[in-house]
Amino acid sequence: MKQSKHTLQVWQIAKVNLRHNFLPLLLLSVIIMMLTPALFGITHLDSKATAVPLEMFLSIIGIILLVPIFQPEHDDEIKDIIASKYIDSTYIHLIRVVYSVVGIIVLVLIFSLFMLLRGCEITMALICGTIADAMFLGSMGLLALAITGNLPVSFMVSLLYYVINIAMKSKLGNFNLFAMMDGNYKPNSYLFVASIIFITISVSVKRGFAKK
Amino acid sequence: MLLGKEIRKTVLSLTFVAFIIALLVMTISQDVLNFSDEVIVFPKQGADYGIQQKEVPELIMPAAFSSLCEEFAANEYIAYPIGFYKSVKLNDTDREKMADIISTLSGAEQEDGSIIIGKDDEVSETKGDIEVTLSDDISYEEFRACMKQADDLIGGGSNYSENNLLNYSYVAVTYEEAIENYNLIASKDKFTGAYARLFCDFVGIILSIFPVFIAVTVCLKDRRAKMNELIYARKTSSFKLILTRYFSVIIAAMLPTIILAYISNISVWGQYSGMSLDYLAPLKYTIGWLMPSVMISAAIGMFFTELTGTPIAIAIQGLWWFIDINVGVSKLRGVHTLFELAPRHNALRNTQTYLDEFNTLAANRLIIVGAALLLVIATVIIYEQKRRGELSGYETIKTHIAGLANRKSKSAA
Repeated sequence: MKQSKHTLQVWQIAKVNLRHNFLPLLLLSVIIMMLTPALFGITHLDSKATAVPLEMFLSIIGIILLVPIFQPEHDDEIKDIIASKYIDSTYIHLIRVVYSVVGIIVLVLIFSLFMLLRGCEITMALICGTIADAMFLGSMGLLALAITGNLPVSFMVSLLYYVINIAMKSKLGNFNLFAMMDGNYKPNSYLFVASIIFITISVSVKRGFAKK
Repeated sequence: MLLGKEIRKTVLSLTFVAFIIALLVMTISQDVLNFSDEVIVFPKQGADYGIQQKEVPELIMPAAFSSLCEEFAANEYIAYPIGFYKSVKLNDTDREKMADIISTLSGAEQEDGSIIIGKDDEVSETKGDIEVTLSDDISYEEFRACMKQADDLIGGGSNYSENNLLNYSYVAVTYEEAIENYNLIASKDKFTGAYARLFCDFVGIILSIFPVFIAVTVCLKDRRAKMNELIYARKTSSFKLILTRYFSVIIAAMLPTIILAYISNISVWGQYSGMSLDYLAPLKYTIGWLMPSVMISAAIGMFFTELTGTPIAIAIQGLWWFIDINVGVSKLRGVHTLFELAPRHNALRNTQTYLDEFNTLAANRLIIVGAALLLVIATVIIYEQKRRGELSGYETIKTHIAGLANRKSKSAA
């Protein structure tokens, strides 16, 4: 009984957040995803060529979906309402993190399936690598948002890292976002672990600020 | 007075600090902050002067024809219509037209999209190699016309487009050409211009996107601080306020850029003692080449933020920037188009191309400045409407949607 009440609570919070915060971001991500085949030919590509649209285009979805997770609380009225509830705000942040990551995974899977149907060489490593890329880019901006509370700056941090990768990818070692197009899958595990660390720190920092 | 306040507000923001970091990271990582290792010296006889793209029909014609035959046989044509890779497959009708082109170029007959060599030897386009050779009777002009037709069939941006045909023709730079290039840099660029141009090439990538963040922050600041109503009630006109804010963003973005351009340029001044240098080149290039990109980026930021009350401008400018920098990869040698955001010229010595392309570049920069100013005027109009309470941007849309949702739930109840 207690558990079903708890599940209902999670579902209610997720539903409200999905409708008010996540939907516009998801829409923007879908637009990016749908633009990809219009900009880049995705027919009969080998695994290295397949990695190009996945790493360079799809990874941007991570910035769109993850960075603005703490944005709703920047509106003081919403912040006050959330603070007045007995549910811990960390709980709400974690729900947002979960559905945003699920959003990234679902979009990457849909796009990968589409590429597969177009005769591209899709592997699990490519799919997982793309998810790791997207999560890393997004979590980096999320951490910046948790610390600075400034959304444009947070987007700048993620975008700057993206530009650095275009300009000097070979010098970034295990934190190279575009390694899969060179056939190197090693950095993706580093990126995934780093993204989990960044998300954990972000939520903790936000929790610390909320308690002050 | 107001401008000073706005500049102070912009410069003291976290967004500006992030912008400076981005500028420094870009210039340092791309080695354009210190050119002391890249001195342009008078060519010595017998040295290696590098290679260059040059229109040599004898090189272009056989290589491009052979490539076309290979792609025709596989019915898979590589193209970069807007800068990104695309693999194009032709339908039966277009394949026949392509076979016609190959037939014209080789003299071999074609039938139903297949090339016929001799009487019995038919080679289907699906079989792989086509052993036809380019006819000796074809002139370069005829060849180019055929290549244009082929490019049109593929959809543009193929290996046979006017620009890409040059990729089949790389030749060694001769001693005489090396001297000519050197003289051009000395007389037209006065050395410093060449370095300023390369600096602009890299910094343009940052300056065509990051000012949008500064502009969005400036516009959202009032909203977050709930100061909108207070400012709306002030005597200052919307025109003055928006223009002051706009120019504060431009000045904040351009000042550090000009300083960095001079730091970068000064690094080589000592290497050319006794020669005629253009000490104003960094200023001329940053204003002429980079400022239009800053202007449009900031204008888009202000316009869409005032219109919607959201940071959507970042996504809009981000998308344009993303497409532009990828398209720019195919124009690194200094070819320009009218609607590019960040002009590229990724070479220190390619002065002749710069001179050849100057008019297109100037027209592009003027178009960008014009578009930016139009957007600023539109922002003034929107701001004035908001001030009068006749427009509230995104809030109105949200209220309408919420109203519709409420009505729906009420009728359901």
